[in-house]
Amino acid sequence: MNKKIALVGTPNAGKTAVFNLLTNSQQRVANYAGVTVDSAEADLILPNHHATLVDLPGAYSLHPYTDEEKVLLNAVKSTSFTGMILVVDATQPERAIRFLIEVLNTTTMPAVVAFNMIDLAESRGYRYDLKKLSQILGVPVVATMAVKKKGLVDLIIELEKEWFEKTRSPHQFFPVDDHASKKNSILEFYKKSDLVVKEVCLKKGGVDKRTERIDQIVLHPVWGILVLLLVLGIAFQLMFNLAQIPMDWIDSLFKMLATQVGMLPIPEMVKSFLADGVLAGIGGTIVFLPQILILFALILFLEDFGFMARAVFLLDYWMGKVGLHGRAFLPILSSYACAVPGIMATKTIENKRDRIITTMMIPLTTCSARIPVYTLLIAAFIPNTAVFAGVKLQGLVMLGLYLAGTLFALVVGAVLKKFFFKGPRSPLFIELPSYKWPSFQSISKGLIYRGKLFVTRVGTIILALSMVIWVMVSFPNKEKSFAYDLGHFIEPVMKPLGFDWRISMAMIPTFAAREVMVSALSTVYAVGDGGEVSNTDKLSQIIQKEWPLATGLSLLVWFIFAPQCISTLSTIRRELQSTKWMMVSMVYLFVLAYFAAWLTHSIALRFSM
Amino acid sequence: MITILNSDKNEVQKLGDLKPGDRAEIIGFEKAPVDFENFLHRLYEVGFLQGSILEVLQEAPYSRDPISIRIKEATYALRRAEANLIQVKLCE
Repeated sequence: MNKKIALVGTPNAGKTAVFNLLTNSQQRVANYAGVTVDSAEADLILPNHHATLVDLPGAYSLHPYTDEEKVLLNAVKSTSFTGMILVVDATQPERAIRFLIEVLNTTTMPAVVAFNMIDLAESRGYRYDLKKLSQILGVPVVATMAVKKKGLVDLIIELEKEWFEKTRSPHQFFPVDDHASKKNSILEFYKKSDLVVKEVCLKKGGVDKRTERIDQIVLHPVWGILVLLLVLGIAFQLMFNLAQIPMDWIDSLFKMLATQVGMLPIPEMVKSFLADGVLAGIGGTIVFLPQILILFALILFLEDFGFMARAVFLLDYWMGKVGLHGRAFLPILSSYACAVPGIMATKTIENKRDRIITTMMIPLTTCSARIPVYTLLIAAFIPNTAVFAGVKLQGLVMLGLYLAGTLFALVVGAVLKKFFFKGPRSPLFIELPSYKWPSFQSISKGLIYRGKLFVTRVGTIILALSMVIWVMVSFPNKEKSFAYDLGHFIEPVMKPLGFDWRISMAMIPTFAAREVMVSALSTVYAVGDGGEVSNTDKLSQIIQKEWPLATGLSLLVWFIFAPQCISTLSTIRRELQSTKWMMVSMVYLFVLAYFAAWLTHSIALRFSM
Repeated sequence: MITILNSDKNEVQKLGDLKPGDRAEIIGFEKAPVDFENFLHRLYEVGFLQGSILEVLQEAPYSRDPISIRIKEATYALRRAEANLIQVKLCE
């Protein structure tokens, strides 16, 4: 039987570095009972044994504070694992040893301890007697510096020796009565673990001077704000300019593949299915990857470096002004690339209400799937006149759409907070870890893992839906397809917004991904004119001729709010574990979109008369 | 040598009222609202306990809130209002 070993540790103890050190590069999404949080798993690299190591989220204790931390408690109590590797931070002996004792007293699961970041601790003056610690705890303790691959051999030797064959007999030195749930027992417990610290920590180290120096800049009233703006500027620059290059490559690659499929000696129907169903679905997912990977790389770097916690520190007060928790910063930043990773990142928000509010706001931030639609409509309906000093109207409108999305997100957050989730702000608790230079290996592995997660989560939905949509536009025949009927069916509802049956029909596939609107319109107009309109410029000219201005503006406004893609909705359902909130988010955005588009259409009609 | 007696030194203060650079000893806790029990528990766990020595390191620019606090070799950020649940006495 394949053994599962849990990797358990305190936050910022370098747990992921230990994971990368001990496993091969084949990371998978962990899957076992009780896990609602995405954990990576991979095979341990041991010469004589075979087992899977599961990277559980870090936690300060077994008394969970966030949903993420609950995973640890569940894992320690479950029978899914045959053993665990405990990772603690050698630069924080008191917290490390308290954590070890708490975990080891809660379970009889065999364990090996990686006393990590030992180099850092020693350079600051800490000296330890780890043999003594091992004796007291009754489990092997290995000093490691995982980012430098130090301690790997010792750790492997101990793992091979221990090999998690039998349960430990819990030692009776430090009995913890019901998880130290009361303050007094924690105090007692600390006193006891402090005794252990006194025995094994031969010499205490000094504070981390480097972190203090960096904080003088990063948290400085002037320099700190500049650094934050610079980081945000780089993030958006990378997301929109750098990512555009590989995105164009991918786009042309898939166009080329579609052309190739067109030349295959196979029936037209199969060709069309391969090109418009399968390839469009795969291409529609992969095209987002550059942007998402670039953003993730930056986020992983900033997180590992220790900056993300500082951003929360700098922004918490101001985010509180709009009813947000400081921790909502990262999810909202991510959702400018795509709402899916943004919603997934909300699990670090400890308070359920805050998490729901943030999740409800996220679909309003302008994700990258809207850009092609905005670009098309702006090119068709907004004249590119210079407003002042070289600033063009088209660019301003694009900026305005971004700001509108962000503004409405803030309004929604404030309304939810004011009317539905009354009560005081939930407290802020966040550690400001020591700054650490991130390792390239750790970031690249994390990136591959998150990329895989995105492709499986979003890709499968987009692919499946793009096949369904292909069926809808192709059967019974192209001229009178199901989508044609559906377009006509919903036309009366969309009429007040200025959308005819063609637009209504093209909107149906946007449930897969918003940017599909562009190719859907191409298809619709190609069908209508009996010609091939594949070029976006051509399409832009056609809709400019065919649609009144009011319709174009109304559709632009519609896309600020809706429609939600299925990937976003299913992510909301999974992350909040609530169908209700998925429905709420879908309905409220549709209502907002409908009303705002109707208003835009009516006003535009009045003025163009 | 003249020692200036500063009566403030022995006064009970709230953690949220301290300035960057202040070192203090925790002497007690306010009664927490129900919503904050988990939060307070988390603070106990990371070492905010009676008798622990802490140091206020920094405050966020402009808002001067939250503040960063070093305790038991680690640094945490807390909002002043929430830090007020902790009663402290300044160290000499």
